[in-house]
Amino acid sequence: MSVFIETNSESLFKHGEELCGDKVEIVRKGDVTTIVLADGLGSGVKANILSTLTSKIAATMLSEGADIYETVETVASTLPVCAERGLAYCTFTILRVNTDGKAHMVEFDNPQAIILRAGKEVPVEKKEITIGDKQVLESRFTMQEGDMCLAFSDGAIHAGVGQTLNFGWQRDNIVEYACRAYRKDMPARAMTKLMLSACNSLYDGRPGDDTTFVTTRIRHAQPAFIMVGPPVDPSRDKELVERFLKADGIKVVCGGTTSQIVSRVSGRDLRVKIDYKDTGVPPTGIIEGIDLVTEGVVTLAKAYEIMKIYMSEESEMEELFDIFKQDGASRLARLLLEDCTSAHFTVGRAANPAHQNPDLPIDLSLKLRMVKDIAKILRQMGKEVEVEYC
Amino acid sequence: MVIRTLVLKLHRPTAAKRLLLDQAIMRYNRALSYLFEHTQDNMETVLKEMQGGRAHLTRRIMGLLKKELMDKLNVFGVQPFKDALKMDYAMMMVAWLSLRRTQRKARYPQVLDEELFERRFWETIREFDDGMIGRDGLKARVNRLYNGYGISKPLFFGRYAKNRDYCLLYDEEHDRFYAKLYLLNVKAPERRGGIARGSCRLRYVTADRALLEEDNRRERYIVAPLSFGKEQEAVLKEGLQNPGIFKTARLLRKNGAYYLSVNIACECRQKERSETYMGIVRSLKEAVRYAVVDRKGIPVAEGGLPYGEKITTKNGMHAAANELVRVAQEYKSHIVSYRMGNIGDKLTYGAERARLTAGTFNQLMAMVNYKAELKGLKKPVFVSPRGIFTTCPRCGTNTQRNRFPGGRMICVKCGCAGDIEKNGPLNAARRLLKYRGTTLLFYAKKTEAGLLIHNDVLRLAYLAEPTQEGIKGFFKFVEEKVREMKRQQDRLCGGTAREVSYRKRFMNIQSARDEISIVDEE
Repeated sequence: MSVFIETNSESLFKHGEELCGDKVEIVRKGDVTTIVLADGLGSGVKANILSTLTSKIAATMLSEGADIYETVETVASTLPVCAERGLAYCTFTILRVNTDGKAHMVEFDNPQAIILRAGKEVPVEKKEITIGDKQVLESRFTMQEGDMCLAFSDGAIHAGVGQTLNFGWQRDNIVEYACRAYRKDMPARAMTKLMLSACNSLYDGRPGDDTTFVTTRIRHAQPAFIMVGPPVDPSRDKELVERFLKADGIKVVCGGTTSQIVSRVSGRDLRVKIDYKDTGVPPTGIIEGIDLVTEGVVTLAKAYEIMKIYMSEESEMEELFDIFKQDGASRLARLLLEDCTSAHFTVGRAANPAHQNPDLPIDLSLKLRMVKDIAKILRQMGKEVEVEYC
Repeated sequence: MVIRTLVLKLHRPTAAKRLLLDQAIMRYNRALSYLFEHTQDNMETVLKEMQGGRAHLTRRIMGLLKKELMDKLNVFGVQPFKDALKMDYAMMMVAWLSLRRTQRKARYPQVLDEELFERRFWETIREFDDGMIGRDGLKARVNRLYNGYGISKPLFFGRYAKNRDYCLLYDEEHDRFYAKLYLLNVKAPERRGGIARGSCRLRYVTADRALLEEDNRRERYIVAPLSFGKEQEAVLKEGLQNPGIFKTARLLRKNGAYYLSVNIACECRQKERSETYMGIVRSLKEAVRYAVVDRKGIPVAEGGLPYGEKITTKNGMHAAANELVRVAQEYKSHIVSYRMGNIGDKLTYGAERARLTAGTFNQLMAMVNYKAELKGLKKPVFVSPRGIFTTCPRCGTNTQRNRFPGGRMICVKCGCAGDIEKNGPLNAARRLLKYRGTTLLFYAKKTEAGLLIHNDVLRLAYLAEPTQEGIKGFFKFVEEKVREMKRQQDRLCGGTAREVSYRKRFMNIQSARDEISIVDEE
């Protein structure tokens, strides 16, 4: 199957701490994605060092071909010993999943990860094995398209202890909540953000422990082809448009002149969609067979702003509610962030005569920079991005 | 306007008057029984009226009682009470119909006189003998019959008037009040004339303060002295200045004494503009909980009334209502709550149950309703209880999935967690602000002539050019229509409740661009 392993992680810092004692490393190599969530003993600098070492060692070893058992042994023997407690301790969850959906998970003292399928928890058989002096839980299972794996640190199950909840947010409660919140097309980012928001709310905004969630979701691969700007050489119009139209995936055209070229070459009408609300973003167009037709630079800049807010760890949940509106920029941002799994930009470098006005702060370099910035965000998300200049 | 009830005792009526009173109540009950009996088999028209959903249901049900049917009531000698009978019948019917919405098997109203009781009793026995009902059915039916037997409905007076129904009289010299009750019809042999009134000079408690007629004509009414306490006296004295406060009344017999229960209209001038909203809801741990928010929805205060056995008693309920009104006064609040009816607040969740039953809560809120008005607060608003405990106070998502055991709410859209004991009253208090924030929907449809933007409930349609200029034109059209509707406000009445509500919202539009949303129809 042609799938994409979508991952996302985020942490809540313990109230008053500047460093997080949880660390997540995600390494993609070939068709295998390795996710390591490590939670260091205590909090602050020490915990941060422990978890960083653990996650880095584990992720590097695993991605370089070492097996999980060897990795765990190495981690155990290399961690520095805490002077106060005399312990070298860091709990972790390691998940390796390939594009066939085969998953191998090892958990050491972290709350057990949750596997969700169609809004229900999938029970996974786990066996306890001893590696070195550590008792770890090992499981092998197959993930299907739409499945989600939620791994989290113990900060989540301590959420609200003695504050809003007597015994904290027990794993069963987390499972129930995750099942209720699950939606078929829910991006990994949305699930992570939601779970953390719930923990933060249960902690009453003052987390008593570092809390981290990593969401891994198996989804159908959906490439996006984005055509931005006309090519320098007009004789390539036909070739580029035909290739664009033949591509299998989401198709987006950004720019007025570019849309006219696509319309002319394809022989399909270009119509302007009426915006009932003034959103400050130029209206979108409609070309049959094209998923989205937008204006160029202004829309790209606005879409980039939205993508930055969406990805920012500082963004509050409230900011994300209405981030996607019905205007062109919001639709483009959503398409790139949530709908596609890889992106191919065809960026035309022809100068736009409309941008020659010295009063307008728009030039070709701005457009190119926008595309680069957007590509950077997509790569951060683990999506493959190609930028082709013409 | 708040209606209060003033209970006045008829002071030691003579044996002759007692007989007249008893007979009048009996005749009234028989006629009422006849009406219910008659319409039981012809419910289609009444149900049709109810399903129509239009306003003034009581008045429409009254209209269903045709002259021919009302003429048949003459055999009971209830000519003086015909209008009252119609009203009483319609009110009972409306109460039954609304009860039926929640309880499909709600019992049809019955007024059992001796004759009807006997007939029903033997019918039941016959059905049992024929094997149509079993032993349990027989027991239930007979119990029901005995429960209803002997309970007579109070005699209703539909208006306060000098020459019919009832009115009050005042003896200035002795500072006494009397009731003048029309109980007999013109042909009644019990009518008496030339009744000596001693040294009393009775004046009507009406605007003209006319003297009670003294002639030898045989009277259709009786005049009975009234006894009452100091509080009632104060209200009666107020009525001397403003007789318009006296509305309908009911005559009832209780423990051998006769009482006139008069409805008094209290005009309560609103003293101050409300500055906050106070939401009142049921609770799992306490009797009720409340929250006060300012005009921006920011919480100002919260609290609850402890649950105790006392609160279910009348006195306890009055005390609780007074306390809630006191809090509302303290924060100059506009009270927002709900009534438990067809739609519940869904507070009960598994084994977690609300401390107050739906009925008790409704009673309490009815008290709060009039007490708040009496204290000069703005009339409380009753909103829909839908989602009051499951709506997220942060993002507004309302789903039952937000509700978790232990009285917890964790929003499945934004992760906001909270205690429903706190969120419930907060949601209630913010309901009006939420309503204000919603937009009116118009639908856009592409036609050959252009873009048709319409709202069928408002019966408004605008054909726009499919351009941004065209959309601007639509908003101008809306502004013009709002002005026009405001001018014609008096003429725009009637229609379904939905239409009336939409018109109100449309007329209150301040900024068309912000308060109207256009969505594509297809």
